[in-house]
Amino acid sequence: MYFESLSDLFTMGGHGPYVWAAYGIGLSVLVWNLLSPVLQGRRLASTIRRNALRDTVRKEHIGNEQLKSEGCR
Amino acid sequence: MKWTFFHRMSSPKWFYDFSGQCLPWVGLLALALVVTGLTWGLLFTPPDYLQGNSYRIIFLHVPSASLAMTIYVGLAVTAAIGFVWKIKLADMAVSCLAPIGASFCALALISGSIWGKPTWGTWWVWDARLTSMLILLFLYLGLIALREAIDSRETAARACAILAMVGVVNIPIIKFSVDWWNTLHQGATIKITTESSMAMEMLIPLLISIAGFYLFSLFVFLLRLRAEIISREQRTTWVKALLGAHS
Amino acid sequence: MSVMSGFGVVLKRDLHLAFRNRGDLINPLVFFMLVATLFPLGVGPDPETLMIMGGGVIWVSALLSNLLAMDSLFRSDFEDGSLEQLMLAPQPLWMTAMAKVISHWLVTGLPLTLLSPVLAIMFGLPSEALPAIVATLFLGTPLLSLIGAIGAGLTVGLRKGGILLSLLTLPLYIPVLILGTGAIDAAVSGMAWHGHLLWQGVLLVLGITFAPLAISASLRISVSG
Repeated sequence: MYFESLSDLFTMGGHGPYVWAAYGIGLSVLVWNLLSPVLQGRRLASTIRRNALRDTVRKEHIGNEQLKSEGCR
Repeated sequence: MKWTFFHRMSSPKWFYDFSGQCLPWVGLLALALVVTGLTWGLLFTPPDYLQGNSYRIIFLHVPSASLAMTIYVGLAVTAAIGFVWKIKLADMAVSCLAPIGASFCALALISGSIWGKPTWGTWWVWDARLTSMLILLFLYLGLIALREAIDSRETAARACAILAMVGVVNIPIIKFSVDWWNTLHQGATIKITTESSMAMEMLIPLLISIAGFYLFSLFVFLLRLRAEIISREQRTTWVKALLGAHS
Repeated sequence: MSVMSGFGVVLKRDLHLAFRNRGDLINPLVFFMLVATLFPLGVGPDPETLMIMGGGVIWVSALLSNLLAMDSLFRSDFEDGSLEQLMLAPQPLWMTAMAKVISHWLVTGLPLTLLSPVLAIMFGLPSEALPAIVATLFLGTPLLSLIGAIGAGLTVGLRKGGILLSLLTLPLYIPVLILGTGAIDAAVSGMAWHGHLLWQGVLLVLGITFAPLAISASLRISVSG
């Protein structure tokens, strides 16, 4: 490692705040890029599953209604 | 190579399966390279004899700036392919590339500006490179805004394809005119990167970091594209089977 | 009906519509003057500063007023369905688009160019700069109309198209702006400015060649989508 001590690493001869801020922002950009498609995919999967479930329930419901109306007759 | 390969590759299902196999490898390699490149640059390289430690921002700045430009060109090429051959997958790729490129463009600008403060004493100069980068960011934001504004995903992708192609034709013109504007106004004569040859011990981590960033963006691009495929193909049976959504 | 006569019909129709609607004709010009007036109020009436800024201010005002008029280029035709009819017509769509762009330029860009010397005098620009201003605007504003029409085509079906249109087209206007103000600056400092004008001509030729294709493609996407 180039730096002598930990405090030397943080201050970087006065340039520390700039370097660390840049790296912090850089890291957050990388993390955002990683998280946003993962979250989007998850949200999407749950929506599709919910829609499928809704369709099944609706189908069953319609089926029951038909049975009922046939029973009345 | 036969044309059948090309067509099979552009089938969303085939691509989804194939990219699923590559994904872990790309991700691991990207992680390894980014971590190596950045920690090497941050901790193990000697400081620059002119700029001191602030030059360490280069390991972030150069990869993101180069990615921002490459992604726009890639986006326009993909758009052209999708437009000419009407390939659905290319349409999807266009809308996935824009946010990634925009984020790296913003990172290049922000890191450049932070670098500028200790080096030149100001956060911003109207330097030709910075200005062109800012315009590139606006081009990206326009693409994203257009995509958000159109409800239908298919229409949005095709509209973005047109805009990307118009944009990429304009980029050299913009670049040329901004360079020319800058030399005309003699205001900022400072350059971010001096053209002098870099020392090997700085160049190697930089190259590793560039490779890492490219692989990383390939990785997040695949992630986005897979989500987009699922979204567009959600009515097909293979997606429903994949997600275990029976109906 | 031959192809050229179709072009003429669309051009004549659009000019007719523009002249029936006086407000649409005058408003961009008023806007042009108004934006330019804001600058001295914003930075102060110092003649020295105003002379330096003058060319840039005139060009930026021209960009903005062109953009303002751009939004309505295809909108009313899109809303009443006549755009679809024009697309179904046997003549190629790029030709119709070209006719509309030309008529748009005749009612906004050209009057604006003719009005620009007044502003130049108000900003205290030397009289040697007047030909440069008129010439660059004369070559530049049609290019603005061509580029803007691509954006207008892409955003025509959208409810909040206006602000989006400016976001899409303003970055593409930059080279025209730089060349235009460059020529004016050169003329103000007494240097040759024909080089910049020739470059603007090159861009205009490029625009005339490629923009109609992009406009018609964008219209097809907006109307069919």
